[in-house]
Order: sequence, then structure tokens, then C-alpha cells
Amino acid sequence: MSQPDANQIFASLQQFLNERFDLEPTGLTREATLRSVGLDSMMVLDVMLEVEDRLGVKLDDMSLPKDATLGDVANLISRNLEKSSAP
Amino acid sequence: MTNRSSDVLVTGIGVLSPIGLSIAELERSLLNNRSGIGLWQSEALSKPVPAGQIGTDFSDRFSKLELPYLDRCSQIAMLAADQAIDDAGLAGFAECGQRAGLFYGSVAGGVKTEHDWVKQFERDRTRSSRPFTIMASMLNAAPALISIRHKIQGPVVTNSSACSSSGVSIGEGFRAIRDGYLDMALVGGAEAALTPTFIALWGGLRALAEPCVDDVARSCRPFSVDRTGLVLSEGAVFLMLESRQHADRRSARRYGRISGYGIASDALHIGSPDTAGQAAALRAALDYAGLEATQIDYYNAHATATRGGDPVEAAAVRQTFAEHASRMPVSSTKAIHGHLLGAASAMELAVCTLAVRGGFLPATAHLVEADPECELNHVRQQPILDRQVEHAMSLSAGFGGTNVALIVSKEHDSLTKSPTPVEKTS
Repeated sequence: MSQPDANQIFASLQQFLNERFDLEPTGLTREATLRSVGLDSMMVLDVMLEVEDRLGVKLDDMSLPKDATLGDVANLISRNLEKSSAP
Repeated sequence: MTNRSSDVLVTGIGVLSPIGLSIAELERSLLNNRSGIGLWQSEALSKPVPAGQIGTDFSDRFSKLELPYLDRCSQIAMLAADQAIDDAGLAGFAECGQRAGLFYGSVAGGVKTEHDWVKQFERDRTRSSRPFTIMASMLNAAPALISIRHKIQGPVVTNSSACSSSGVSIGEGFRAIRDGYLDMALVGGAEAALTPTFIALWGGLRALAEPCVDDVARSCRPFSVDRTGLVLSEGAVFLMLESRQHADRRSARRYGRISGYGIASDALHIGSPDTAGQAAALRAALDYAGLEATQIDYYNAHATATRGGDPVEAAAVRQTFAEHASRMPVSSTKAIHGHLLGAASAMELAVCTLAVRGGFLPATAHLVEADPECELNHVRQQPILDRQVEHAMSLSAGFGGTNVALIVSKEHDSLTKSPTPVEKTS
């Protein structure tokens, strides 16, 4: 399976947040902070676990900067996927 | 009695129960003897059981960002708390600092969430729960969420003493105001434990009522010679308590005054009630209120309709009230709302508060022939209207032996809330 690019990952994240938490996709920009869209740390963890399930990977690196943005979350997923696909 | 600034007034009530989703609906159901008991079935159980059911799914009252933390128990607790606060004319407690508290009781808390998780673990071999599950299943989830929503920054206390859980909470909240530690306390309880596992757990005790063949709504028959057991129920009830000084300052309207609280433990057996412990709680509440036994005009019994429990309470009433026991009107409204477990005391204190405010005596529905062992002055089958109730008392007795008695008294000033116009339909 080819690794999804950054745009695909962000689009999937938007779609998932809309499905699970009813968040409007228009407000889900890369710059929006998790706090500003109403997501707490446990909800982000839930997102990560869902990513693990959907993509069948283990996310080893769960570290996010303080007051993280959705872009940071997408980057974290990319980072982990790159690591997991590295030879 | 002389008014004291530390008197504790009831300025709001919130109810989600099988016989009403508001205090006004509860009052109408009491006046009309409307039963909220129906058949509850599950493929996982061998036979249907009678249960007090609200029926409504309240999930759509919360956002998907809130729902992961919300077991049904927390949902109904939050909605009943909202009602009580709104009924009291309050808009939150952010300005109160540590002078506002929350005292809550429940037996099983987020038991449905917990049981669903166990099912996933055992059946689906899921080895990691969703991150919220632990929080949603906690016994103190509901009060935590209520305190966050309404900014209650003083004591947020959860008590679990089985069927007297919310009674202890009400009593301790009352005492915290009366002793000057708080100005306001939201007090009550919630239970939403109608799950196959929880019902089967109770089934093991052989204390659940058989469905009444003629009419399942008549399955719970406290004090009756043909009673077959208790009926489990769900619901959430909160009362907004406030010191007189605080309530007067904001001209808050009030239902009545909490005047007595007594708590006593049997210290005898974990599952068998005891007359001496119950009588001690009743006596303690009378002493706290400074009332003679003869001044109690209505007694709302714990009576769950079990063979063993009802006579023990009847004996405790006779022991405490002596000659007055043959005159004092007694009823168990569980006949129509069932046993709300952690919310039972709060529900029954709300009933007493309505009786005091509205001047009527709620009935023990379906009581045709009383068990001679339960001899008391029963209000049988139909409520009695137009009866002045100056002081009403309620007892709750929990497994484990914790007994709680509460007394609510009439307020005669112009700020007393007007009774709902009587809408008796039968």
C-alpha cells in the first residue's frame, strides 16, 4: 500500500473529526488549534487510536507541541507513517 | 418557629423520572396516580421484568464532543441539574467561589458504559478501550460534569450508600449550609442501571417483583399483603438548596424548607434492614428539626415492596411515632415510580416537598389490603387532596445499613412558590 501524502492525511483527519465529533470541515484548518475546535487531549488520543486501526500501523511517537494545531496532528501522523515504512 | 438566616430553603427542583420529566409533570402524576412502570425486556434475559422507565433517549441533547464522556446516568443527571438550577432562577455559580457545592448520590454510576466495555473485552477481545471510557464509567462522572458546566467550585462530593445514597448527599449538603460552610448546594442523585447484567445481578437476590398479570403498571405494591418485590427504576432528581439569607437577598422563590436530617447505621448485617437503625435515623431527624413526632403530617416510606423490608420499616415507624403512628398518613410512592436506587431519596424528598407546598397526601397506589405486619395509617390507592402538610418526612434505608431521614417543612411567606393548579384527570 502506498503511503498517503500530507494532503490526503489532512483530508482524512478532517473527515474523521466531522464524522466522530460533528465538527464542521470549514473550521478544521491546519492552523486551527485543537483547543479552539473543542478537542481535548483524550479526544486527540482517540483520533490517534482510530488512525492506528484504520491504517493498521502503530503510532510510536505521540508527542505534540503545546497548544497543538490540526496541522501538528497531521504532521505527527505523517512522521509516524514515514518511520513505519522506513527500511 | 423563628426564621434563621441559616435556614435551608429549597429554591429549585429538577426531575427526570418514569412519572415525569419536570417537577410539574411529577406533581400531576402524583395527583393522578399515573404509574411509570412497564415491562422491560432484553434478549439477554430469560424473561421480561417490570421496571420504571423514562424511555426517552437524551443523546441528542448533547454534542458529539460531549457524548463520549456521558453515560446515560450522567446525561439524565446533567439535565435534571440544569432544570433545578434554572428553576431556582440561577445562571451558574462562577461568582460563588467555594461557597457553592454539589452533593451527589448514585449506586452504579456509569454502569452501562462499564458493562459495554466488559462485553467488548470478553466477546470481541478488544484490549484497549477508548480513552473516555474510564471517565464515563466513574461513579463521580455526573457530578464532575455538572460542576464543570455550572462552575461549582466548592465541595463536589459523591456518596454511595446503596438506596440511601442521595439521602446522605442531601443531608450533608443541608448540613454544610446550615453550619455556615456554604451558601448554596445542589443536592440529589441519579441512576440509569437498566442493563441486563445489572438486572440479573438483582435477580440473584430474589427480591424483584413479578410482573402483575392484569396490569404490569401495578407490579410494585408496597405494604400490600400480595406484594412480590421491588421494581427497579431509573431517574435523576436534584434540589437546589440555599441559605435563607442568600435566598432572601436575591428574592428567590422557594418550595419549602429542609428542617431535619438524621443518619444512623444498623451495624448489623450488610443485606438485612434493622428496625433499631431506622428508628434511630427517624429520631435523629426529629431532634435536629426540633420537632415532636406528633408534628409530622405526612411520611413518605422507603417501603420497596419486599417481603422482608416493609415490615421492618413499619415497626420502626411505630416505635418512633408511638400513638401518632396510627394517625400519621403514610405512603410509599414507589408503587408508581419504582425504586430509583441512588436517586430514590431525592425523588421521595421531592415528593414530600410537593406535598408540603401543594397541601396533598400522595398515595400508595394499588394498596387494597395491607399486610397486617405493615399496619400503619396508609393513604391507600388515591391521593388525598386539600390537606395541610406542615412537615413531611422521608426515610431511605440502604443495603449496608445506612439509614437516612429527611424532613421538609412549609414556608409561609409571600415568596413561597405557588402550587401547580390541580389537574386531576381521574
